[in-house]
Amino acid sequence: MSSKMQASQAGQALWSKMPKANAELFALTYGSLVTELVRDYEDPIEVNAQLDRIGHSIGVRCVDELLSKADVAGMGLATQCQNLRDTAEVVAKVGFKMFLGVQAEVGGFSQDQRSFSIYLQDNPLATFVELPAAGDEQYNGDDLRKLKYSNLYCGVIRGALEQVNLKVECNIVRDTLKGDEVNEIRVELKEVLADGAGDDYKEE
Amino acid sequence: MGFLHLFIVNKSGGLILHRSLSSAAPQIGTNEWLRIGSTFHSLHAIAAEASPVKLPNNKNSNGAQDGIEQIEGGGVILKCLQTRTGIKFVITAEPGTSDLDTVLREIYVLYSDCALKDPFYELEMPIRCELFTNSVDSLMKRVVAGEVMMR
Amino acid sequence: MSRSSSNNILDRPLGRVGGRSTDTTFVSLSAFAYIYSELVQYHQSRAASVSELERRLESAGYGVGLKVLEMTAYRTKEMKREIRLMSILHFVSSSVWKSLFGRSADSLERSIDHADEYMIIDYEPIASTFVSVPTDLGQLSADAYVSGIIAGVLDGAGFAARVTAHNVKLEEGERQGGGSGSGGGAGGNAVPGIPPRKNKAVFLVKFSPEVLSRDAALER
Repeated sequence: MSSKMQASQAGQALWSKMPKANAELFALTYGSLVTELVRDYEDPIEVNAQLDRIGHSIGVRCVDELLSKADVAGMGLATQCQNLRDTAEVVAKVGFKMFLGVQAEVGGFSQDQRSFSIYLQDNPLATFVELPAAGDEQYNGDDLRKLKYSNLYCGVIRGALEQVNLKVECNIVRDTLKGDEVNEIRVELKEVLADGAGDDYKEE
Repeated sequence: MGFLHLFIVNKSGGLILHRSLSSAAPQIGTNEWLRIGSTFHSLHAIAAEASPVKLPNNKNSNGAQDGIEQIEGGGVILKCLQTRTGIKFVITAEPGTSDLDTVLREIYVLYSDCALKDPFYELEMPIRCELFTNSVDSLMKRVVAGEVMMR
Repeated sequence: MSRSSSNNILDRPLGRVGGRSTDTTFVSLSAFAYIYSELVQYHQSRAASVSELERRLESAGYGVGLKVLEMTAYRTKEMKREIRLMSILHFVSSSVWKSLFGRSADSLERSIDHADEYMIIDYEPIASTFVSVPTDLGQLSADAYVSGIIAGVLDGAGFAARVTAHNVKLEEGERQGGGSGSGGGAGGNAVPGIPPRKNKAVFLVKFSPEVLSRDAALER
């Protein structure tokens, strides 16, 4: 599909221009934040909510970076996003690529074309991470397996799409930290917000 | 090159930055600036309604809210970049000044780097990031010196 | 462990992530900056003062430092544990710096006034790349997190020290050949469009007395 090709190329081109940082420093810094949250909030469900909130804060910011840099590079990204499918491609192929350097795939579109999944094989947030087994006494019985370590992504996607008037809900449905073969983030379109594209987003 | 002013308006019409881009720029008081910001914000929106050509859902080719892109007066040109996320970057310059579009787009990038990554900057609030203003000044110096901006 | 041994994290190679492509050893500087920005904001919301914020950031880095010590020592195949002060400082300013920031620190200096103080200098400290400290936060250094990392490395190696980060104005012509604004030797971290910095980060390392006397004893 032509839009898929362009999104991948755009992602690769933008990634190559981005100044880089060490991936382990990145993972360890995120780890430091998660550790602090676990210490302060204790309940893993609450920590998940905090990670989502923090992700949202990042999401509303990084979208301007994606749009402005794509614009300067002459990529007509905005014209491409005619429907949710195109948007999904941009999030996965441009967003994940330019910021994290990873290949993310899109798939699992629902019948009504209002939800999709993003698949991540490599998860840069979770390098070196292993969740303690259930019942690990060290954590006072809090089942850290309820922790959605990478919940940040859900907040990021939600925040970023909110800035372009798409209200979505995101959930991590598969997690390699929990033994799954791939990381899967499910994104569901709830509402196209006012000032939003309205008719442009036809349900195909 | 006769760049005059830069101002930035947030989603709700509040002015979050105004800056002289050269010594030739006339002095404008803070209250005056606030008025300019909100007036422009309203005019931008009304223009799309008043326009004889109405784009579907008022979205221009960039997916951004349609509205005033350029105003040409006898002694000044005003150019506006409306982002998809609802921020307006507006620049004024003497007629004949080139590269206004490029400068606006570069400033948008600088905003995304220097303001949005600053932990002490709160979204939609006035921009007080020294790094942003220094970078804008540096950009203007390079533009005036005729250096080609390649990214 | 209840998981199968093939998935056991302790059995996995400590080489680069996945070992698939070189791309996976890096993320964008922006990604790091966003996470770090959130870390700073989180700690700021819980700190009652500027110095408390700095201490919290240093703490946040400490745990990272302990891990970085192990990783870096393993990867550089350091077979012998460093026991001399100058050796550990060199390890930090070159191996650890290269591991974390892709280049050696710009300078390692010894304080003239204090025998227990050393300085590691970085002209493009990564943590503060996009940070503009507001005037009401005074002398806060956004690189406090990195001082925590250094402290963790040193303490983990048996060289307890207090490490603090300071912004120091650059002297005229201090940076080698970076005048064109491209960042010169530190080009790897220079961000296009952002002018060269006027300040450098000085990480002040103050060793505890036992470390100094132990090192002096080894001298003999």
